[in-house]
Amino acid sequence: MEEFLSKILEKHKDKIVKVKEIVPWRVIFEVPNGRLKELAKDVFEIHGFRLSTISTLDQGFYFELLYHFVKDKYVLTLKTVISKENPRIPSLTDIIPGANWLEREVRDLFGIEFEGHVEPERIVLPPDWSLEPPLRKPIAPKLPPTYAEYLVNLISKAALASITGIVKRRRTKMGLPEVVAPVLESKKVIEEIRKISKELEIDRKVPVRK
Amino acid sequence: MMLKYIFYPGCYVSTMLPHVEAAIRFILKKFNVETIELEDLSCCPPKINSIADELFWLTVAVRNLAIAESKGLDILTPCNGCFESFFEAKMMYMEGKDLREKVSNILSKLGYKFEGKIKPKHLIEVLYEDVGLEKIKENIVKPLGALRVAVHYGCHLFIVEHGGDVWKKPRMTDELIKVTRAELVRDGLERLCCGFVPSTVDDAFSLTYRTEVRLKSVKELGVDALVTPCPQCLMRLEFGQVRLRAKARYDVPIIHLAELLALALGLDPKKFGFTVYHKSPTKLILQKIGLG
Repeated sequence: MEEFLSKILEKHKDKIVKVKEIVPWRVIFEVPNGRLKELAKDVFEIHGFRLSTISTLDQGFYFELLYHFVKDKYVLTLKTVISKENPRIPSLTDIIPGANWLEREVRDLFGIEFEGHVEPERIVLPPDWSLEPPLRKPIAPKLPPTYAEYLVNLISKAALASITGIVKRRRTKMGLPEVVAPVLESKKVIEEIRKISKELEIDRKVPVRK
Repeated sequence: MMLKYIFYPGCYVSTMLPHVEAAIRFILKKFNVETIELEDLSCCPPKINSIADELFWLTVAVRNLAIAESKGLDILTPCNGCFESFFEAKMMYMEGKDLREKVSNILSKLGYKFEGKIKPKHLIEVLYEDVGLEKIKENIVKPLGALRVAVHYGCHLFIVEHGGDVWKKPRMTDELIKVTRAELVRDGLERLCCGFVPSTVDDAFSLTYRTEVRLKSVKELGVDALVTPCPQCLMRLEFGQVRLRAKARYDVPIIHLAELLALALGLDPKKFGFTVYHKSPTKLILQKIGLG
């Protein structure tokens, strides 16, 4: 990390919970949402950055807000997380006037409230918009790969577990039935679980193997 | 009266722990418990999948319950995960009118109907409540008084109806261990998660902060074995030891409650691969009880 950014990190290390260096002049500081404003104030007023833009990621249960600050060749991103159940965060507009339109855009598209915004009007949506924020997904977590894979397996073949040759031999040796539910690959079961997933349109959530 | 259930071993027991299944079947046969095996049952499926789609998880789970109900029999499972899934599915289905209507509509198209007349039962409940502790006690032929064991209940064993006694099934587990005459030793971490489910999200964290914490504690107790009624806990705590070997050796024998009972009820350990199929040193148990 370049010295200029290291000095900022050193000065504010009590507020920063995680650091990611993309390249030496482009870093991400992760901060708790309650500390974001004081750090943003210093970055803007003392270290001379300008707020370039705010990006928002809908991660299912929570939002990630990325405030991108730029100065010369340096890009410093302040990243914070807010809950989707209570999506609100202090506005930066009283210290950074340029945050005005950026925060309003995020508010319109994701439904995040920027508390204390100096001009809380719609900017990209019509003033009488009454539907859900258009870029906001339903509350649902991004599944860890294991479970996403399991869901695909459940839809495709009812998640009927396969049994290896060695286990089959062990079972036989111990006098156990060769296969038992839910191991048996029953065509009827697979077909019925597929019908259920079709009724519920589950294949919209995960790609289904043919 | 002969006891009769739909037998649902679950995928872990049948595909990875056949020795545990052999012990379970031996015990059930010993007490004339008839098991009906059905080809129409699907994966339970694990409750964690309700995160992806609650209605899908619920409908598939209730389909299994409806099939059991059509035979007029309760479902017997030795798997904490399957038990949790069936138990919670029945509870949600019976309590939530909207959910029940949605699930019923889908299942009726497949020709199924569930009215909540049957119950999912954990092996522990069947042995403790239906077979009865006294009957088990009368049939102990190999008292395991030489053994000192710790217990790991498995989180999903604590599932109960609203306002129910969460310690009911863990207490049954304790009694089933004690009926073998083994001494039950406690370290206070019996309720800790083994790390199995969280490992699917963060394996390294789960191994260090769940699996190893419990293994370390049990090792310090100096017991002869850790007994669990949960297949997933058994696998996690056994494979965990193998994976941690480069860092530390724990060498704690981990066995299923059914295996402990089967030994006490006279099953020859050679007949169910007691020392062959485990990943932990179970031969130490046999040496301690004079069978090794």
